[in-house]
Amino acid sequence: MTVEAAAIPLAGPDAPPGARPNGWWGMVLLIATEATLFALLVATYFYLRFRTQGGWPPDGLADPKIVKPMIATAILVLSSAPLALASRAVWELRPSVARLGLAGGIGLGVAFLIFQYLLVQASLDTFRPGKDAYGSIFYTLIGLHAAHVVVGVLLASWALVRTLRFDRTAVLTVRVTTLYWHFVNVVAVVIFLTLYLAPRG
Amino acid sequence: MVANIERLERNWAEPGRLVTAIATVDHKKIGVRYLVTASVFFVLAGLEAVALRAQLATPNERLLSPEAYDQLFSMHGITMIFLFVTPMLSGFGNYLVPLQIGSRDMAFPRLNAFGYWVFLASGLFIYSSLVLGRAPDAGWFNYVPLSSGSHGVNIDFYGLGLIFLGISTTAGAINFIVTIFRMRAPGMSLNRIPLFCWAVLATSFSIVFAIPSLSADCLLLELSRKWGYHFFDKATGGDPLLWQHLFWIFGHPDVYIIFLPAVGIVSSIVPVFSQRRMVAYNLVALATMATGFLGFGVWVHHMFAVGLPQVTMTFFAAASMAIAIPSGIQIFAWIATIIGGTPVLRTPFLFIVGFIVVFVIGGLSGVMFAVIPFDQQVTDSYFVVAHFHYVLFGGAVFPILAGIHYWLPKISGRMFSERVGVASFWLVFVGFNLTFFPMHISGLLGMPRRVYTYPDHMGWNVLNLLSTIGGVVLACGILVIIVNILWSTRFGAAAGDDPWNANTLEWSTTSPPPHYNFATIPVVRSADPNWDRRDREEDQRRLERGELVLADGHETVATSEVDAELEHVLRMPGDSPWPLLLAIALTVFFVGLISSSNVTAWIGVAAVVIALGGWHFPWTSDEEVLA
Amino acid sequence: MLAHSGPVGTIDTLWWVMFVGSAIVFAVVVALLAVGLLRRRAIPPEQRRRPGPGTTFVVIAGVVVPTIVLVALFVLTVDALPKTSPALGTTRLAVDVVGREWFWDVSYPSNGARTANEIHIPVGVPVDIRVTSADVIHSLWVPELNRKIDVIPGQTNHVVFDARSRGVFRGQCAEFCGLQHAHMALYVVAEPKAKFDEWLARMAAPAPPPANADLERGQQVLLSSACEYCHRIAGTNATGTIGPDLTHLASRLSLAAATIPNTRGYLAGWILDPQHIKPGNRMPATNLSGPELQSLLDYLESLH
Repeated sequence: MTVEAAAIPLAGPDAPPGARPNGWWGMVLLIATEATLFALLVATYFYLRFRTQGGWPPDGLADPKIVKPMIATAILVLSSAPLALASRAVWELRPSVARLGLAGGIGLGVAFLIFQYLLVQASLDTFRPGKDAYGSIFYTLIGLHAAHVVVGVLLASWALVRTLRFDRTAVLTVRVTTLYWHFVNVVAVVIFLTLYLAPRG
Repeated sequence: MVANIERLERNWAEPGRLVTAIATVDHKKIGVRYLVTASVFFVLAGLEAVALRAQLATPNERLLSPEAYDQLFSMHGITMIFLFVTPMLSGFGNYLVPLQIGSRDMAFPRLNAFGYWVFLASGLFIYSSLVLGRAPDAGWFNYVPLSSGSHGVNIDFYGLGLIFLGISTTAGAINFIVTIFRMRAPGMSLNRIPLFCWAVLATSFSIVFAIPSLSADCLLLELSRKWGYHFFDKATGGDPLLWQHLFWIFGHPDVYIIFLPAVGIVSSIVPVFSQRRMVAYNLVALATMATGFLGFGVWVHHMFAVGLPQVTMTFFAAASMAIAIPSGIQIFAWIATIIGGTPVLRTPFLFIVGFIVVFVIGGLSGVMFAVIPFDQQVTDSYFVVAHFHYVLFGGAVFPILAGIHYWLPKISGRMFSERVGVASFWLVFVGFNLTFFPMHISGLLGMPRRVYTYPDHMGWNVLNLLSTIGGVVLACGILVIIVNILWSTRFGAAAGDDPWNANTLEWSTTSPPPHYNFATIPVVRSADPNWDRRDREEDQRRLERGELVLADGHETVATSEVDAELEHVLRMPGDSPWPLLLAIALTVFFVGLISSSNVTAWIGVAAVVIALGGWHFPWTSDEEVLA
Repeated sequence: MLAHSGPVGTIDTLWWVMFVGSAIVFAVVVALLAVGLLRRRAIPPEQRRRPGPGTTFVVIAGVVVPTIVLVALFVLTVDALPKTSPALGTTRLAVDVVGREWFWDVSYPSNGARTANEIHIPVGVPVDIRVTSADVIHSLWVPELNRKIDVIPGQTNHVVFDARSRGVFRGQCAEFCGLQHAHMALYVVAEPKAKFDEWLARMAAPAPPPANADLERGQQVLLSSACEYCHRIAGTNATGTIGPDLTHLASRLSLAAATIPNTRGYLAGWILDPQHIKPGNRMPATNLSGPELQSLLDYLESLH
């Protein structure tokens, strides 16, 4: 193979930005570990449920109400749209549109966090994590997911700032942020189904 | 050509010793750090074992109190598994993978440095517990409710320490996967990568899916201990077996995380010391990946005595037997290679022979454990202690010792003493068997494990004394190896590029390799590239023509995932202090957690965010602005 | 190990089959390895990639033969498993065992008999041992009678003891449970039905009342020391349940969960300084004068 160094594109404007750079694969694998973590905690929820004699939720606690959590989840899932827009925009080399998308996502993410905080405060009046295994796994799932949303908001804020110097790394940053963001939203749906719909089954 | 090499040397040079120490991202230096640090932990764990064996040499001995014994046996297991064997194999991976695939660095050089610093920090974090006399004391698998209900910080060092360490392990695994898929030399399609790289790949995928189970378990444990959550207590709707399930869903794949890189080392050495290419390469690669995958389906065999339904246990028994088959493929592939070759009986190969003998014994006793009623009789006895030492020491330590002797010439540029090597092999082999073989018998005679002492007149006395004597012999063997290594890195004969006539790419460059590994990126056309002399001569000619030299900065190539076709040139980051700073920030966070200081923990969180920002900030950016 | 019960006999047979099989496999592997190591013809480097014993050998030795052997082993497993698992319909007597740090609390639901660290069973009768834990996970293991069974809080597990012949069988806790895990043993005594029935009836009866003044004094020492907070002696005011039941202490083979023999000297040492024998266990030292101790020992020795 005769290969002149000059003939190979540098990871620069000649190489297509839609290609999957190493950092993209790195984020995919990070998502794999986090997804496994959530999968195991959801499995733990069902394990505890099926090992419990008597009803679930236990001790006569009512099934969790679904309307407000459904709205909260919907807000978060909706935020995938501006992020997808941002990701598309960097592909097309339009940083200002990307910044708008990121800002929109951050706004909806923060709205979710505030809403979630209020919901948790309200439900703490009815049952606390220290009460029993049901409470413990319930708040663990919600808390861990919320922590991931916080990380997502921080990541998106960084990506937004990073687009001010719009180079390949900025493009990659927005793309991996979007990947992560979609992942956290999928987890939100799974947790909603687990905590709020499954007990009714 | 000379001008090109000068440019490479300039671009890859490291400023000064202090800066290098703090900021290096050179995978070879990081690899050596892992190897050395893991070796220190090995010696510590070995000393812990010597203390245990001294206590158990005679019945009703009072050398160690039960408190001391419980901390020592727990730390022995924790250190060996978490702080020695996996980081050691990670060290080999770090040093060798880029060299073996013809690259100049790992995919994420700073993440690599970060992984090492976190390993060091979490190891020190865990060991500070021993210094404080508050080491974890519920065994390396830390069953609840003994652990969850224990007072004092001992168990928190375990729960928090392992979450901390898991960050390093995961980072390393992600790095290896992306590196092996994306940065191979042109022409090195997947069916041509060294078997060691297949092993690292299988291991890394296992890590990605197994470590979260341990982290989840430790999270639930710490929430229970610190914040009064209930997961493990029947009275509040929990289940003590939940800990065991989550632990072994990690724990069984973990033994393959330990075993697979070690057999990768074996697959590296056997062809070279038989001077014959590996038989059934495809089957061995397949067996490696299959073992990693199947390893997730057998965990319940660690729980056969807890009272599970027969149907459940039977399924896992079948799976546990099935997983012996990929190992069988590997053993017979090695034997076939040896039979068809011309064995070179030098020290590295002696350790491989020792590995085969010891590991087969361990594997056979392991298959016995799949037979549920037999397992129910001998689990938690010294028979299982014998079994797992045979598979772990045989299956991992012997290959590690082989690998150390095999690659020492490449890493240091000098040869070890062959005579001392042979002597050390026999001391280790005899010492190991004398220590652990009697344990099969004491287990069958009813001696339970994790006991700080045992009564007289049980028929266990002589067996225990033999084990203790064996332990001393084994320790001597390890000492001799350490002396041999230290001596030879100073005074050994010059090794040259390729003292072993080896087949993989690391032997095509100098010993030790230059910072940039290869003056020109090699082009590969078989699974034994260093035996393809014409291709290696062609590399030389390419260097003279200035092709694939990539001397403008830290550059290497990115190639396609399956066929390794050239895609583009990668600009790699150079030295950076941020990995160390981020590791320090994380340490502050974990110290805050263990000392129950919210202020410290929050400062740690803030420091982490700042360090992440500093790491990714484009301080010096030579990237082109796109819009 | 002699098989004193059916399940252990099954397990022993399995062991010998596997041991012989393993020895054969090991010998074959070592022989092949020796063949490889001893054949040392010089072969030129170009020959490094020549064909030789290859994939076929690996597939036969590494896949086909192991598959056959493992399938056979699996069949043996499935056959043996029911023999060593609790078949609850077939048992004719139940014993409740509660594992505690670091002793075994034994009771017989049929008549309320209560003892500690010793289980009696009639020879030839399958007995359902029902185990649970009051604190952490333990494991009941009497290797001569059956496999081990984990003793888990919040859950009741079962193991069947069916002794073929009379004897005293030692068991020990087999799951690490804390500081004195090493000293948490017990004895299982298999005896003829008549003797067993007599023993069982005696265990259900209250403690023999003190027969003379010295024994009265001894009982007084016990009731006025801290003993009654943890120990029960049926028929007296000592009703503690934290420690082992002492009602028929003198009838037992051992003390402190089969750690020391049941003799006057050891009993004295135990009462005065339990931490010396089992450091970290829950029993504090008891300060007694010489005469107090002697009377107490006399009383305890009267508790048959």
